[in-house]
Amino acid sequence: MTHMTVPATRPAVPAIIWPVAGAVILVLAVLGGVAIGETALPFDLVLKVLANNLLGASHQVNAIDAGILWSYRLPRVLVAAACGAGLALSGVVLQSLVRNALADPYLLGVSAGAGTGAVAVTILGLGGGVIGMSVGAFIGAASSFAMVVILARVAGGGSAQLVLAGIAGSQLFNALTSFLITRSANAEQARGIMYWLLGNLSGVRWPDTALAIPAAAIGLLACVWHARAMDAFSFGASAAASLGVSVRKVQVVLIGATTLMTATMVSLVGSIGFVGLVIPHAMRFVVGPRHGRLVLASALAGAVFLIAADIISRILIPGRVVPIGVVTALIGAPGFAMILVRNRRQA
Amino acid sequence: MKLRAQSLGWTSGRKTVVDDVSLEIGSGETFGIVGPNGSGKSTLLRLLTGLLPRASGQVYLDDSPLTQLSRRAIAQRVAFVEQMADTTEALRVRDAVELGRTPWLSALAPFGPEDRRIVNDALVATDLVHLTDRTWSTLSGGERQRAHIARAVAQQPGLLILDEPTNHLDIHHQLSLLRLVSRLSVTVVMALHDLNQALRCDRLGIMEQGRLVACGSPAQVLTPQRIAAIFRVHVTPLHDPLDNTTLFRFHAFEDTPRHPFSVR
Repeated sequence: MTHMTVPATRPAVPAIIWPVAGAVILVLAVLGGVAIGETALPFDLVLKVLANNLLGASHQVNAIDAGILWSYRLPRVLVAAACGAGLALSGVVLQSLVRNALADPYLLGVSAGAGTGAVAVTILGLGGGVIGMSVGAFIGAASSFAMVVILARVAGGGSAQLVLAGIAGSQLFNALTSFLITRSANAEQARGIMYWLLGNLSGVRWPDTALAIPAAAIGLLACVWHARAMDAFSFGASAAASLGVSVRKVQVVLIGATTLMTATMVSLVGSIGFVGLVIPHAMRFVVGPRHGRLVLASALAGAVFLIAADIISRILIPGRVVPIGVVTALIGAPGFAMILVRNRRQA
Repeated sequence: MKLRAQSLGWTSGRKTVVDDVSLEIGSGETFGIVGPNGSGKSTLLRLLTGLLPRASGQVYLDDSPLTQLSRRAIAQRVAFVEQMADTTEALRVRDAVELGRTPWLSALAPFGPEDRRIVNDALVATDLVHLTDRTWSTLSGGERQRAHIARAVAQQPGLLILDEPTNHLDIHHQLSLLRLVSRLSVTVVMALHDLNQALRCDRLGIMEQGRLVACGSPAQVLTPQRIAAIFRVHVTPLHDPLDNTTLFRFHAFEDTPRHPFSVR
């Protein structure tokens, strides 16, 4: 045999540049999210307030501006970033494990289930005040996902069956939510809940960051740790098993992390669609299908995307806040259409 | 790597797919499994990799029972190439072959230069160097099959299990694949459809309705009478003077009612 060499694929820039660039982009997005709004705050003011609060500096700033910035905008932007990262990671996990390009927590009914759980706890007082809204959302998300997966398996286990089962699950749990609201909530509560369900970051305060950021961090850690296992799922669960992946364990850990992230985010900001669907696909274009990179890129892009969507939701109609779920759908639905067309070309 | 299976069985619903199969395969041996469609070949192969739940019987790899090894430990010893494993991901050939390193890596032992060398060798061995950067969806069936074989080679197993590896391959790649497999210093178990290819194995097992009905050297096992009984075709053994080997020509029962090995 003649001697052959395989061309080495050597990166043009050192690998360390990507995490650094990612962190810089994220920080810039957060600063942008804090500065831009109905009251535009000048950049130096943003830096001064941050320095006052974080580094104990004592710059002279307007107390109202400082209050808006520190108590409202910053937690809101941080929660938006955590939600975006969490939802995008959920999409990456679901698309990998169920091997379906259309899998995402919104389409598979996980968000709807989380909504039902959260509403059940809030309105019915289910759990007697012992379990919080987030726990209710987690139980709801887990049950709806289990139902959808079982239904899809009973129906034949194909890709189409899973999406159809997801539609059935979403409809059922959305109907349950509406039923609960009509039965037990007064008009005021009902309007509040409906608004919240469309996705809304207006009510976010500091304590919410203590839920959102750890949830996203746990999810990110689980995904990074299992990135290679998700690669192994490319050719199906059985192929993954023959590559040495403990399929059941990985499924439990990753689906658990996804349910945790989705449930936490839905209980904090309502159900926000399309992030989990569109961001991972966009990132596959940029960094390729291998999960080592895809996981980090999707988390970053999801965070930046949701911060941007939140900014748009605040400035689109002056004097009003458009629900962020509406903004992500307005951007995401055409993105979804593009994925459908692209998938057809590949098939 | 030595392989021993003891009264393996598997049922799906009420149907017994594999029924009380015992066999022993020596280190470095190339063992072929033949049998008609639905005779349980694929299921037997999956049982040998420990991939099926609710199996009865036991498989031993070099005397360790499969049930006592972790999936990772099994994957470091056994590589399995299934039929028709496909993906919709835009993986490149190199990515797919790199998956073979999965059982040897962990979060603390990432993909390194040694792994890259092993992957490159596997690409060279399977004649895939010119396709290294092609994405999966642009590959032909045969190219995909070779990529799977390359992945299995990169796994550096002691035992390679192949389910009809020559399906979808043109004749050139069929022969070069069988040649590649026979030159690997590993134990090979493969299901084959082509009885002429099966003749080149060290030993053969014949499956019929879930049972291993014969096991031995190809000349012992593939007799015209047995082929007629199990595969429902007549064969005429022919002689190739080039390398002094025997090969088969097949005839439908209907066309050769007076064939010397007629079973009717």
